[in-house]
Amino acid sequence: MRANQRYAILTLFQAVLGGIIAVSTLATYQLAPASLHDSSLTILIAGFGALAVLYYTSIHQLIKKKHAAVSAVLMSCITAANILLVITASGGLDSPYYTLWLLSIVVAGTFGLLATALTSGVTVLFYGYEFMRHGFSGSYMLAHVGQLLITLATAAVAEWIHGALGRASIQHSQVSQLSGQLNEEALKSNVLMQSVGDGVLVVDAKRQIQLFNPAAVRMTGWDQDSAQGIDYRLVLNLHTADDTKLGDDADPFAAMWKGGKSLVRSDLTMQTKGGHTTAISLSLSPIYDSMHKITGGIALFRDISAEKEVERQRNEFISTASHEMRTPVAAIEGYLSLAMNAAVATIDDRAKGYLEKAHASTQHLGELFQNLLSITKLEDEAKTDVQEYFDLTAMVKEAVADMEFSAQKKSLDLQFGTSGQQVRKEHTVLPVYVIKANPQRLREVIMNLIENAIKFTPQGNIEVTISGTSDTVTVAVTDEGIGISAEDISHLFQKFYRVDSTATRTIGGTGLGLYLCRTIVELAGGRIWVESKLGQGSSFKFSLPIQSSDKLTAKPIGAPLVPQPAKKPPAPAKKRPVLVR
Amino acid sequence: MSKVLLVEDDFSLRDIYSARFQAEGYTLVTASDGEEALATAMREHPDLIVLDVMMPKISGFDVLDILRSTPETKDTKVIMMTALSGEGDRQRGEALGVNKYLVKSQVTLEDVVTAVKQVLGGGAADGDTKAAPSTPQNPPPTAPNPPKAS
Repeated sequence: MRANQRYAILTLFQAVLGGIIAVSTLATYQLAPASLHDSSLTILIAGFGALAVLYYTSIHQLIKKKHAAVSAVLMSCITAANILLVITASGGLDSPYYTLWLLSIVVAGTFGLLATALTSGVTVLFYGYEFMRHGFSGSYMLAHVGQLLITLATAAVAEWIHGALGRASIQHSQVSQLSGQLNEEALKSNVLMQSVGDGVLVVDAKRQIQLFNPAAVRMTGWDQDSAQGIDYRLVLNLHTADDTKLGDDADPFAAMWKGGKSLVRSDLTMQTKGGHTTAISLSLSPIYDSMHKITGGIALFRDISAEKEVERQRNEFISTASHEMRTPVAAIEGYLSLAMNAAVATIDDRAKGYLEKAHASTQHLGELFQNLLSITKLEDEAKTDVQEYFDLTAMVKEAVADMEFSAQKKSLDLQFGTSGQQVRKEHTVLPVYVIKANPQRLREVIMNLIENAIKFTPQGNIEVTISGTSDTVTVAVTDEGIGISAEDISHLFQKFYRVDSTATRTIGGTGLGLYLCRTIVELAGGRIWVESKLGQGSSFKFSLPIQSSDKLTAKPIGAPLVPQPAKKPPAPAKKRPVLVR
Repeated sequence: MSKVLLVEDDFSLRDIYSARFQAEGYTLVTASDGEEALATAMREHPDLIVLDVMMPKISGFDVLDILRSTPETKDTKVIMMTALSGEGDRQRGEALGVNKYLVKSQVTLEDVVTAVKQVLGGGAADGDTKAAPSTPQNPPPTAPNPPKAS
């Protein structure tokens, strides 16, 4: 029961009591005036009774909303005074109306310790007043001390009952409140688990499934009851993109357990109970106890077949579009070549100049398509990249030899060195750095960096070096060219980013070359970066992890890797996207 | 003068190669698919066949296979031109006995002409399957390459 309600009831009760006292006093005054000892006291009693009713109907109504407790205290004062007047008027402590005071004490007990103390205090004072009225007569006091003690005991008992009942009711309300909160939380998490669209699976330290939501049921085909308590590997049947079952060493849960960190995989597929394969994105997080020990894990998984399909279609579109567009571009380029060939056609010098420009633009266009195709292919190949073991030194040396012709055309000095030492003679012994990468792609990277160096170096030297530590090999292509500003460096390896300057506007480019380089190097587990200052040349470097040399097969891998015979003149650049279909 | 059979399904490219080869003084016959290529090869006995790989009806690989297993054409020189840059495709061509294997995206028109001259003049295939170098005295006008500021 709310406190305000109790005050309201108390006040009303007292008003009624006041009314009864007033009416009955007046009635007695009218019907049997002889039975009243003191007429002035009687009028006072009736007045106080009327005052109680009056107070209730006026002031109490005004202040009950905001000050119910204050109003109840005021009302209680009126009532207490009235009762005491009644007792005094009807024979003091021996009056039958003394029971009214006992009732007041019990009622006060239900309103707490303060109310009890106040009424007890008033009781003692009243006894003192009565004893004084009887001139502190020893026999009178002796006769009424027992009554005083019983009255005070009643107050104590009332207070104790109130306290005990209160504690019980507080406990009860707390319990029901807490259980309400618990229910609410359970309901919330239940609603969350039920309605979340992703599969949720919680495993314990034994890697047994503890929680399995309806989305997980839908996706895996396992029902909640049979999934509960069994090893997650049975339920979450993970495969790689090319459909081989994940071994225990490749298990993402094991990796999460070992690393103690969350991880996300989107390159996996899951086989449902019914044998269907779904591409999923899997997010794993460890659950820690208070001792920072991993006690379990939460797996969130989502069907990403639709996303994968969109990605595939997009790549297919780019691939088809650039392939289809390359055909007419190749024709334009071929016809332009014919027109410029004196053996086939006759044109004047001015026309030849224009045609050369048109030809250069066409080649640029062809190259753009080529790069777009390469990127799409790279993104396609990312998971099934054909990586081989080969000697990087041989590849770099050969690439340098291939580019020498282009460098000579611009009167640039292109050199190959290893660990700072120049290697220009064929018989110099070169260190062997075995790496694992897609050889054709990596060759593109080296050629690309050297081509860039040649393109952006008006005059001076270009140096290609290879050096290694115990675990990584680094290739650096350093030029004395125009350099790159610090703000451009941070964007340099992004798709379609081109440094905007007079130099880059006159020198063509697609904005894809370095992005391709980065993708290729990162696919091979390495990194690529540049050190440069505007106007002071650039140094493009990439590093790759070194593999054990006994992984190198005896047979030279792939034609681009065959070292060129020493007597053969270096082949000029040949990666030109011309006459492409 | 040497007779060259050009097998190419795209009209423009056929036109371009024809013009360029004729400028070199070769006698030229053309075919636009594998079937026509085989019929023309039997009829004309060319010295060299420049063979596209991806063609309608019969693919370049199949054409080469048939040519090599036919007595009249088993020694005819063949240059394959393809958009397939995969190492496996190159090896497949070599296994079938191609004299030169060119990847279209890696060579210029002049490179093709040089390759033709080499194969026709150099006798047996030298086993070098790399793209032919450009003729140094007649390099392509410009060669824009992937940019530095990508």
